[in-house]
Amino acid sequence: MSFAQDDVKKLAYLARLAIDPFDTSIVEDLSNILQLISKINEINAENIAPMEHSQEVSQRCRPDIVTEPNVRDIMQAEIPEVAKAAGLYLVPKVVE
Amino acid sequence: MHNKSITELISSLRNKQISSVELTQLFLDRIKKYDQKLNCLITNTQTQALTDAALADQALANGTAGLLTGLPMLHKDIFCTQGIKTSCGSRMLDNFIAPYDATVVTKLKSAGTIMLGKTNMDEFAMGSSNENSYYGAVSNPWNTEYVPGGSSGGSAAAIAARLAPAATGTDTGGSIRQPAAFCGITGIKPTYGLVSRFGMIAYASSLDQGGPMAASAEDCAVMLQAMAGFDPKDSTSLEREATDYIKDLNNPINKLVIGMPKEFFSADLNPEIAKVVENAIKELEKMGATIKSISLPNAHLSIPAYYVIAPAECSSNLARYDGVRYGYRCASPVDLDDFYCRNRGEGFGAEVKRRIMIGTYVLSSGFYDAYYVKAQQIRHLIANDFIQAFKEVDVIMCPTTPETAFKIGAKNKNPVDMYLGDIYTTGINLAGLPGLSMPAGFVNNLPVGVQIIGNYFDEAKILNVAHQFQKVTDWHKQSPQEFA
Repeated sequence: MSFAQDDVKKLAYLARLAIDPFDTSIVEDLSNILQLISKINEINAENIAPMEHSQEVSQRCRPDIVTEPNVRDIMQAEIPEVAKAAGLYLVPKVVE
Repeated sequence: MHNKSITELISSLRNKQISSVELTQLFLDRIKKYDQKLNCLITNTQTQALTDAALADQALANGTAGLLTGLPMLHKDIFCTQGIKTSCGSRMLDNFIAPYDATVVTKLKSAGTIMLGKTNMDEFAMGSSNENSYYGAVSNPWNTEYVPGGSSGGSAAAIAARLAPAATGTDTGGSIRQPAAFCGITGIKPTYGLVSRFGMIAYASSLDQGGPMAASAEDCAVMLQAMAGFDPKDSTSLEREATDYIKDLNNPINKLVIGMPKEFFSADLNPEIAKVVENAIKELEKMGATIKSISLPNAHLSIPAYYVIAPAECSSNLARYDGVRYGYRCASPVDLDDFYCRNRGEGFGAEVKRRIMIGTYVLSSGFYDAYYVKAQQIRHLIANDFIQAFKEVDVIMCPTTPETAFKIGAKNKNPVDMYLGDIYTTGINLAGLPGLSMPAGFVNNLPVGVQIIGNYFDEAKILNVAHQFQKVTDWHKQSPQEFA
């Protein structure tokens, strides 16, 4: 089992990762990893339930009350590209 | 003074043999002297440390001291520290100043510890050698041409060179135990859910667990005492009665049954490492423990299952790093797509990108059942093997790693070579069990670690076993000459 260059390009785009289109080592590395993980197909686990948590626990609920104050100023304090007065983050133009 | 145990240091502080300012300065001086060679620290917080130490001295003087008041320590740079850079070893977060403290940091702060700095690590905790850090590789104090292990490599090397008496680490597939083994120190990965993950930057959330790294099991017990406990801010934190990890350290182990998994002592294991581990087990046998051969028949599937589940969770967790609200931003993006792709492409290193892409693949619609669901089924089989084994034995002992530390650069050609070194550690994370690594000898002048695996919430027992071993041996007291 292995990946082709186009598979890797597609994966990189799905994950929004710019990769060097001329770097063939990434195709080889990912193919090696794919070969390693494909070993899980050597055994039959048909009637085994997938394990989601090591302990049998369920999600806790908490009372629906406000516990955190608005911390926008703290969150934006260290960000350089922010229109601080308006509390907005600056990004490239989205609408043409 | 720098070779004293945490208990001895706390007692020296309380008896006024040394002040916290003096002790903090002593370790800061060691960092200044040795860290240029080792590269253990990403951030040095010396000014804050000395201010906090002066406050600790006041608390010691007026009788308001806590469990660890005045004790200097280091935090792995994966734990958020308010107002201080928290990089996770990544260019992506090189400019990130955490707006809040991780619960582990808060707990250790309220116990009275003094933070000396933040330690180097593999980027986003992905790696077994600390070579994947944006801040450069860390050297192993036992031989500076060798890796310290990873991902908590900076913490492990710092303890081995006694740049601090304790450090935090995190362990997703062995990242506390493997560097502890490579650097000749003690480290414990607790049961999943025991130590809060709030403010601990996520890699693979169902496997990540924080824990202490220090010279000895006794030191780790003291640190774990301060770190463990329910946290409502972490939805996977387990609500249960607090355990005392210190009081059981001196329990006799004459009724202990130790399981030796036959799969972990096969012909593939380096015979010199096997000998060190067997000698350690014999030492416990002399104290009355019984040895039993056990089987973990699905152990060989732990690496392939781990390298499906961990990348799957990482691809989801790391999707948040888009460079909009914080983190790395590329120069002059042409549009939003270019902005996202280049922020992430330039902000993440090669290993992180590989794992994100593998995770994206195994979670994609055509392959989800074949890889992700299948790996979760295998995870169940692996956990069941351990549950079965713990019906017959109290603890399981085996090597932590199949080999000692390797040369920096030796395993950079094929990532799979590095992954295969996780054979004895990943299964414990998949099952959610606690595991400890302690030093038990040397091969070619490099430390060898022995792993003690416990049943769920049996941290006190594995610390007890390790402490009993360390009472009759001195491997944990040895330190590399260059940093003596």
